[in-house]
Amino acid sequence: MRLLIGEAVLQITEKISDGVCIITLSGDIDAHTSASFKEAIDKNIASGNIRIVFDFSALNYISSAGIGVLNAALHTVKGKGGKMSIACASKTVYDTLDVMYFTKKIAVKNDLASSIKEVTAS
Amino acid sequence: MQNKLKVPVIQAQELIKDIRLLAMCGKILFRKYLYNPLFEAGWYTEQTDRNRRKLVERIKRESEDPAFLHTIAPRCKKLICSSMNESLAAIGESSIFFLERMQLHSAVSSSSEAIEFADILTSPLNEFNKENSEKNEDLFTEAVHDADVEELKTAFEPVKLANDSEKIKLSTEIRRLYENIRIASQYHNIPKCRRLLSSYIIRYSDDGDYARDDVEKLITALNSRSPGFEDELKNNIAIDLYYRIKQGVLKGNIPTTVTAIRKYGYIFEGNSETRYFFEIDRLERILYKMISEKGLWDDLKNKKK
Repeated sequence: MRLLIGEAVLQITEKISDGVCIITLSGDIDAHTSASFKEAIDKNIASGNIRIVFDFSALNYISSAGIGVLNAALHTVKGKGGKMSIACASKTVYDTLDVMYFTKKIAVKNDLASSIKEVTAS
Repeated sequence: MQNKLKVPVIQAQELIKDIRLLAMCGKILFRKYLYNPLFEAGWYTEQTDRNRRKLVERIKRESEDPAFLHTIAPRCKKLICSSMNESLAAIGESSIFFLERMQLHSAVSSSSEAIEFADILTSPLNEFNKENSEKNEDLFTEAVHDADVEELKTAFEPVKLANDSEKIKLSTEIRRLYENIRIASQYHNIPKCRRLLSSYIIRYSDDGDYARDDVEKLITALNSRSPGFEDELKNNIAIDLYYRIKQGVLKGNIPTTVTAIRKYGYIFEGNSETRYFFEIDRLERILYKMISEKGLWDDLKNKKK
């Protein structure tokens, strides 16, 4: 039995709102798209945006390549005194983060407002 | 250019892992991809060395004396040639033994025998890997499909550090690692430093209390002492995890496979330049798709709570 798997597509949009960088992801984060995901995060951190919220409401899939990118970013952001949070993850994406034990490292909230509150809280 | 003058450590490591995988795939493939290429390259001899063990011991002894390092490669070639008249298992063991010596001594890896040996086997073993890559995905799909929920739950268990004694153990491990690396580096034993770091990182990197900063300090120090150390370490870890995954697939061992996939993700943090990055990602997608189709997400999460 073979599973036919198409090439993943990821769309990334970013905006800054009240000192919080909101990165919205749409599509899949896997080996093919993790590099552009990493680039978007690194660019923001380099610009001094260390309060980051990831809007996962339109994200269909995340593999360990994507979780690895998040883990590296979390390490850097924490080192600079910043915070990260994930908002609106679908059940499948949340379950993947959870079984990979990433929900123990990062706050995952049901809505954007709670995530923004999370990263702005002192 | 350097690659043409000697067999790189990473190439020797990959060949070792390939031979081990080949051994799991049965005699026909072993003969096709290991015995036949060596035979065709003229490495077969009618003469059998009845004291293969003695020769191995002698090579090991001589490996410790710099004056004898130049004798190791010709003796290893003799060992392999004579084992070809003995058994397939003996050829495998002798080949791995030679490749291990190449990793330890540059006098061996830069010998004409070592370069010839790697040249003979690299192409057939690449062919073996290519042919098996697609088969591996099928085997993995079948294994995940047939796996019961308990087996998958085991696969997603993390390194458990729930109590203080386990955490103390981890901090003792990093101190031990420091000490062992200090000793090994005093003797310029870079392969040993690489082995120690590699096994520590693979074992603990997906744990919450992993001493990431300490490990990075060690890597930086060793890299300045031996340029290229970091790249070789990463390749070493990628090869190790990739072959754990492949072995897991061939044996239908889902926990081993999934654990190695997870560790790979944590260690390489989405770096697409890492070896086997895309191949492993495909297996992971198959895994999650099957878990979704079987409706196992909630069962897997319940195990953790």
